[in-house]
Amino acid sequence: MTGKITSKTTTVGLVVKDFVVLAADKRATAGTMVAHNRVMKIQKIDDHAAMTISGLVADAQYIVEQARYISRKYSLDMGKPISIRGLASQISIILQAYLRMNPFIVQLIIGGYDVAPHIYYVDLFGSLSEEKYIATGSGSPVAYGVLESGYREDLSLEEAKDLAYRAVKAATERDSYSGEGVDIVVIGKNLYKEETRLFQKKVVSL
Amino acid sequence: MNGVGTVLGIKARDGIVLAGEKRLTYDGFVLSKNVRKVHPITDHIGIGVVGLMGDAQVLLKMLRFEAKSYELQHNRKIHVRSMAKVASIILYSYKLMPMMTETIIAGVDDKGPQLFVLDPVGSYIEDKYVALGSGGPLALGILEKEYKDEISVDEASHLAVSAIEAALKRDAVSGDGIDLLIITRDGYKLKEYLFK
Repeated sequence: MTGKITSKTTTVGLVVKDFVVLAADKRATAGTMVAHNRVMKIQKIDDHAAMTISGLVADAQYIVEQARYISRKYSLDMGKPISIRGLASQISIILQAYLRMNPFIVQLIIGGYDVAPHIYYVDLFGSLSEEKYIATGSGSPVAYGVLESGYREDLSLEEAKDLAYRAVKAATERDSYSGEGVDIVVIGKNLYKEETRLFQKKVVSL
Repeated sequence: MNGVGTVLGIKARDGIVLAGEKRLTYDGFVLSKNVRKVHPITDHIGIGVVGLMGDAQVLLKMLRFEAKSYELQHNRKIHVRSMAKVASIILYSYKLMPMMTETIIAGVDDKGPQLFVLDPVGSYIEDKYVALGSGGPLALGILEKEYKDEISVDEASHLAVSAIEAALKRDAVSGDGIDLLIITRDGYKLKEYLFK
């Protein structure tokens, strides 16, 4: 029951024509104990970028702070927002630098809009790869089942949101460490929108 | 195992309530949302088990056999205490390769309602109420506060549902629904709830 709070999760990210859609569940566990049931796992980095977190929460929160600093400093120095690739690349360099000594136990999706929508997968080994759609965390095998069958590049925004929601929802049904509800973040040109859908589960007599 | 899922038992003034949730997980993956963890052994004794479902079901089969065999040989129903002792002997016989189970054996006989708790290697202890498994401590929090001597079976059923509900909400590997096994002098009754 005790021990470090690690978040086994489900997070999903996908890119459609003009938007990035990120989605994640809301459950945090410590062992099998549900430590929190209203966690926001999609953290805003800047007006045009966000990051989904999974792994060791403390590490992930530290990385989020670093990302915010990097993004803010870039726009103050350069007078324009940082590109999503630039941001993801700098984060991956930090993760790689700490890998052999004391690694940050994280798996991240960095998503946002610079001149076009992009998502990048970044993990503790320093991996960096651009994706069209991706899922991370303990629920990702289930989420991939939904994404693989439903993803197309020409999805509309509403269809993309629905697909991301269904992917995370399916994962919460079959992964014990995911649950409680789904957060969705949409990022587009001059657009950053957050949305929460909670599951209203009740005990019902048969 | 170790204690995945939740079961509980309550001794009431006029009977026994056993309750368990319905989720079966393998390393976090939900293998089934419809597993029964409380079962009647005879019409006056029930069992509640968490742990490895394979072991639990083998144990149940052995106990049903022993209960029926006792009934045929002695021409009367086995006592609850005797049933618990038989379970204890079976579990202890696997001491070197223990069954991965935590067990409640409870029922009603001519000595009234009784409830026993057994660990993986067969220690058996009589009790008034108990909750086992990964969600056990959560359920026990509710039982500890609300249980009173002379509680009725109806009240105990409601208490069991709210105690399991607490475990469903805060234990990741418990969920999906509740099974109730209610045993009184008139026999047993099964009830089912879904969590969705």
